[in-house]
Amino acid sequence: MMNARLPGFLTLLVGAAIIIAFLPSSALAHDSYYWFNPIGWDNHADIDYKIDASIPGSAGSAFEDRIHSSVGRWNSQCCIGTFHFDDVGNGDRAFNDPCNWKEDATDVWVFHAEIGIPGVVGENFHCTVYHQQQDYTDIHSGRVTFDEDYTWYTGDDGNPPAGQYSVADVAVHEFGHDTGTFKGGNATEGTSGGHWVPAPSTMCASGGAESDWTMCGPTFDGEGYKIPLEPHDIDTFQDFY
Amino acid sequence: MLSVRAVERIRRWGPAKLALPLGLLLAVAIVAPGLTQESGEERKDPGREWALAAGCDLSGSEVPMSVGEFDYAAGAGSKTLEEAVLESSSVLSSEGASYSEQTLRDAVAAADTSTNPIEVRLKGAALTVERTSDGLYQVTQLVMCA
Repeated sequence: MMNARLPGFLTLLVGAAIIIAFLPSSALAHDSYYWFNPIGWDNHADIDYKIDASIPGSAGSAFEDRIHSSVGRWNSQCCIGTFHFDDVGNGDRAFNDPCNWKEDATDVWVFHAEIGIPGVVGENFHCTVYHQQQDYTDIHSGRVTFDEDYTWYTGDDGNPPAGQYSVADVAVHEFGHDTGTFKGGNATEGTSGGHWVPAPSTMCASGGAESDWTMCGPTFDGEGYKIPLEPHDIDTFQDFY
Repeated sequence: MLSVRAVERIRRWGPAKLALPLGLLLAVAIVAPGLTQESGEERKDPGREWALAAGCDLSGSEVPMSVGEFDYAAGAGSKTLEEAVLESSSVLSSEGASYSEQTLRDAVAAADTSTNPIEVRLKGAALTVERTSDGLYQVTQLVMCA
């Protein structure tokens, strides 16, 4: 009798252990410190972007090339999959107030302009609409800006000279916001401007091994910032979609 | 109630053969609710919170807002909260919302500075200011009623 029951009980334990081991545990899921509330485009599988005439160099310049290659990193790796460069009618869009553009067919405009806050290297702005009844916010248009007060490095090797800022690094970060993830929903929980936050999680801790993740709070300080995308960035974004 | 057929099947298979599927079921029952709860709690739409913070008009079914993020150079920032907010005034005005210096100072004085980030609320806009590990203040987010 004992011999018959013991193997059955053991098998039950083994079965449970196997399943628990292979299922993604809630303890391994993302904690509240770096969960973000993604808000989406009407059609997040088809987001057009245009490059304003303010971007240095003529069409096809190294500056533009770095923007395209950074966008390509998201397109090739992540869930959203489809930023499309709209090569028609680029340029001369008014820089400010993205909500004035919401009737425009183009989704994201990329600028080189004076942002206006000292120390700010890059900026991402969106025009959003909150639909009260559905409790849902969507994006109508966006704007990526490289501040004109800084010297921009157009190489693609992640190694800008001292005092210069990498177009590729900043572009991939800003278009990370354009995947539909930006401001977190609750400041008291430490969600932080669409970035993975440093504390109390070890993510993005200053000087830490993870501080070069693409969507960490950016400190675009040349050599200290590496070209993404890191696995954590990819995994986290993929979880949104 | 088990059917006669089911009872016969249990007798034929024996407890050892049933234990594995029962174990699997048990494991799923334990783990699955936790996973569901985890994702459900975190994916809250932020729109209403933004609109309330910025004091936008909630009388209509749709509430348009501009939402921006500012990314800083390493070591950049302001020494005080007030300085950080005052330095953002040019962005506010260029985006279509002008505030007097006194209005900005009053908003800073009214802000709860026990949190990080700190939310500074204006009529028609809300600024999120983060205190960096260097003790500097950065305006990292802006929500404006459109």
